[in-house]
Amino acid sequence: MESPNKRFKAAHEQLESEFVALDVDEDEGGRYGYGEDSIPQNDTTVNAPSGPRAQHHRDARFDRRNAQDRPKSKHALPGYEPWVLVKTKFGRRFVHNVETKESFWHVPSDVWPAVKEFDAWEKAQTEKDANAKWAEDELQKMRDSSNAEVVNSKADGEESRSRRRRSESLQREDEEAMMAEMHAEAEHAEEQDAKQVLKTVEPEAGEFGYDSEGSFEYVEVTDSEGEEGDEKADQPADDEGEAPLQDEGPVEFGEDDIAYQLAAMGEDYGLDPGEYGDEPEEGWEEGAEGLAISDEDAANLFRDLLDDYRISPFTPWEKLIADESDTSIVHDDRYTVLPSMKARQDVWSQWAKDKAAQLKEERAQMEKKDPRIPYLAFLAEKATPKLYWPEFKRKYKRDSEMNDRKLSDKDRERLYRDHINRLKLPESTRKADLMVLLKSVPLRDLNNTTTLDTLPQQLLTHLHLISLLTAVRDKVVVQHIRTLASAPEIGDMSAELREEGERKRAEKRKREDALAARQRQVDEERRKAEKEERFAKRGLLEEERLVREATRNVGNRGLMAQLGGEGDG
Amino acid sequence: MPKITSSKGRKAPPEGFDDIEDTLLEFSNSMKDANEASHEGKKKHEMQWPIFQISHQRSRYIYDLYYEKEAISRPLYDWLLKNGYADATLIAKWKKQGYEKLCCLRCIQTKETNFNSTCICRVPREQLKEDQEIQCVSCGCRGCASSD
Repeated sequence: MESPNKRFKAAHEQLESEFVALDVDEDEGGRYGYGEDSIPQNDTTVNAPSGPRAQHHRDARFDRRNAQDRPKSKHALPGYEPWVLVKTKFGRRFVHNVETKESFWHVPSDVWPAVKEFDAWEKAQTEKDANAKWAEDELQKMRDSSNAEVVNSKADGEESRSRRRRSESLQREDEEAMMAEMHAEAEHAEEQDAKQVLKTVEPEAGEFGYDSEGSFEYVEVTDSEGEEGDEKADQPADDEGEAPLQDEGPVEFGEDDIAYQLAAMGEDYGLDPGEYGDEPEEGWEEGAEGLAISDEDAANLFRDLLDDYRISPFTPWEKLIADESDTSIVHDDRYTVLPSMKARQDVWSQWAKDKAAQLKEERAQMEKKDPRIPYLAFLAEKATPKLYWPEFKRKYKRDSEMNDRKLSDKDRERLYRDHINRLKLPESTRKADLMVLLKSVPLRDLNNTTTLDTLPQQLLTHLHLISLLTAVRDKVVVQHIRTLASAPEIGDMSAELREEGERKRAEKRKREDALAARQRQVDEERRKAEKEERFAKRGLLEEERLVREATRNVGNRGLMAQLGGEGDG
Repeated sequence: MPKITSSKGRKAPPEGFDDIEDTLLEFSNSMKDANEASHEGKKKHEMQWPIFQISHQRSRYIYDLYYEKEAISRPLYDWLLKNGYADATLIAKWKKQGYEKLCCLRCIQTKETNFNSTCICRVPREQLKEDQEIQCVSCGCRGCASSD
């Protein structure tokens, strides 16, 4: 093989098929016979698919190692709901049914499409991921062997290729050695246990039946520089069919690739593997996805981050990143999407600019509140003729109303003195003043829909309002409001409001028109009915008259005479 | 240094000062600390470095807010300059090409140096020797050439 084929398949895997073993005790060695079929394969719950037992020779001695494997990430399979795809620490994967608690290394055929789909979009990421790990190890090896190499992404191709070759040959040597070792091991399994822990991971292509798998599995194997040799030997016979697929695996690897992968993996390693337990999805996924994010997306993500943390655009950048507390943006994953501090700072300044503009706009739209209003309310509550202004000021110097920068000290003093002077006036005067004030407010601002909470600014900023005790004042105001009419038609509304009012009026007019028309119709009908009635009445009267006349003319001569007379007439 | 005024008869600062007040307060606190700091074990000039540094930071902050982010209004900016929150002469230099990152005005005062040259911190990094670490005497700057 030109490039080291990193996937190894044990010859026996294919025999192995699905299993549904939960809570199987793991060191029960004898149960897992070599090539035994359909044996419950270690796996327990999602969290302990005591791994590599499957691919290794199903030997008792591997059990301990299998226990090393842990689920690392869980992926939902959309459309196949109860099933989730779980990846293990050693890069293998299995499907797990959340409802029935079943787990299969071998993906059942009905779930298979979902897994394939999942593969399709995830393949690139996974491979990168795995390659990076492999790369790291490889690099480490290189460093050890030539004690000079450092990852140099800019290294020219020649050098990197030679290095790769070297690493490959190294690896092959390792494999040979390991092959020999393996044979020895067969006899002294127990002794070797400890060493083999590292090599537990083994690709299971035969069993899994998909190719992307191998790409990350071999990684671990390489790293463990274990008994790959013999596996390799077995392999060709085993999975002829899969060989082409496996070639897709990341075999061509230059130094720059390695460096790139390492950089990309940075995020992933930031997470503590211990956390991976059951829900490593976010961390892992994000780490993986981080690689694929476009510049624009990254910038937007960072902006979202700033938005989410409610950062003030007026904060200095240095302060922002110097923040080490838990709530700092530095600890957010999105902080890492941008590659450099410079990029972050650029995005930050752009964001701050936009944000400041937005703030400005919002403030302009907000109606300005007169600073006197809170101060007067404060005075109404606290002011007393017993205190001179300096005393009052000293006493309440900590209150925010007394420190409001929008109202100058002079204004405050003047208001206070006026207010105190007014308090000394008789109550009737103050009441009269208040009435005068209330009457001076146009009906537009103060009308029968006004409540005590929505008094117009004109009132609130006036001293006369607070000169009375609150209870008394409220009574007066409420009484006055009751006597008022409703608000007049509003002339100076905003266009929108006006439009709506217009529309409402038009509708009203239409309704009124309809009503009038209906009224007219009704009237007409009534008139008609009356007319008919009149006619009918008249007819009746006529008839009556005729009858009367007729009867009046009837004499004693009888009907004949009358008829005769009539006939005559 | 911002002018110290008594609260009496103080005119309210322009609109928007509330937003940056806290940050400016932090700057002035750290400036106070720098002023009070002990000189024990420091070089002769080293005492002044943090003062220059903070002054630079504060000026930069206001400069950025006004010119880069356009987050503060002209009246507020003028008010800040007038009240000494930022160094107007330094900001004037930042607007000139080649002086975008100038650390302090002393570092471009050629007349004050023996060879009529600017400070070492004005030298671009690529013209320095490899791995040469510099820190200027006047303000502790480690390099403020525009190309750095």
